[in-house]
Amino acid sequence: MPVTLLHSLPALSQTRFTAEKTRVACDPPSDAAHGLGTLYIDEQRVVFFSTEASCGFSIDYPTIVIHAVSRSADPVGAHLYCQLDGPFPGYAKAGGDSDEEDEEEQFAELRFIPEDEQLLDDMFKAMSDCAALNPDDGGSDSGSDLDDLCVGDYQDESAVQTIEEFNSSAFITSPDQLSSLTPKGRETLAHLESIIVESTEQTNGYNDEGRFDDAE
Amino acid sequence: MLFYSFFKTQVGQHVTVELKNDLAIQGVLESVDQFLNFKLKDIKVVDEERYPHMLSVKNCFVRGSVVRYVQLSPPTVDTALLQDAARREAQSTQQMQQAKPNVAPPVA
Repeated sequence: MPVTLLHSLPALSQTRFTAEKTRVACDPPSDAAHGLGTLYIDEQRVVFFSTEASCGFSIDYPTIVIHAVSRSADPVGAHLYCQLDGPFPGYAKAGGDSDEEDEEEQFAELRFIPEDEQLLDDMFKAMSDCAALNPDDGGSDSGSDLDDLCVGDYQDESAVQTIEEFNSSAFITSPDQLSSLTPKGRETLAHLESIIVESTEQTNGYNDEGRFDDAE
Repeated sequence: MLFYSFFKTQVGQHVTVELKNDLAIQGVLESVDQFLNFKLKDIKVVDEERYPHMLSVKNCFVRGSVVRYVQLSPPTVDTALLQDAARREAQSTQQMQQAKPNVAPPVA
């Protein structure tokens, strides 16, 4: 459940940041997300809870598309801005003017306004760190081949093919083709090989996975 | 990993990040991590009318899994370096498959 409404404060074990007396505002408005409460930025999720009202909500990190610091130029005051990948639960489409903007109500925007503006940078950093701790599950995001390409799967051939398609004749894709290089080309290649250190390290890291093969 | 390395070379450059929800953000790439989460600064939302709350946002963190495209500035892209990196990756993949013929190729 990406956004869960709460009626009691859940047990939080790895909270990176706590901001008391924080106001929350949701657009489109939701009864479940307004008023004053405490924001907990936990390693597992973001929780907002008001002890007085005995209600709040928690959000999983994959649901938060963007988070950002919005400075005082905004009328609600400086705040932490979060854009969600879908609507906020409890939002009713009963509003009179919601029809024409139907398509634009697909996402919710949350704003957390701390009492002390100085906290914002730390809140942002905590949320960034926690977001990085919670990458999407491989299977949950069907439209995302970007994940498949980039998260650990760096031998995916489609990555190479995509580049190849631009101009297949200009790319050398196998060692056999190296012999067709001009002397000048070989020089350039030698130079490039001497300056690309990073990708070599990463390749070695990957090949290391085979080191356990001998153990059996 | 090629993409991660590549985007690291783009840190400090102007990019436009286009999200799967059609939001497009122009800004300077501040950092990128292995999940291709982007931190941008000095941002400007292309369609400001649709996202009025983002008007006063200067820095943001974009989740890598929601990015559809990243528009780059052509002069900042070293295509020769990219060609070589792509070739190396293809080569190492090939060697790996030769070395371990019993390992199934990755599911594309």
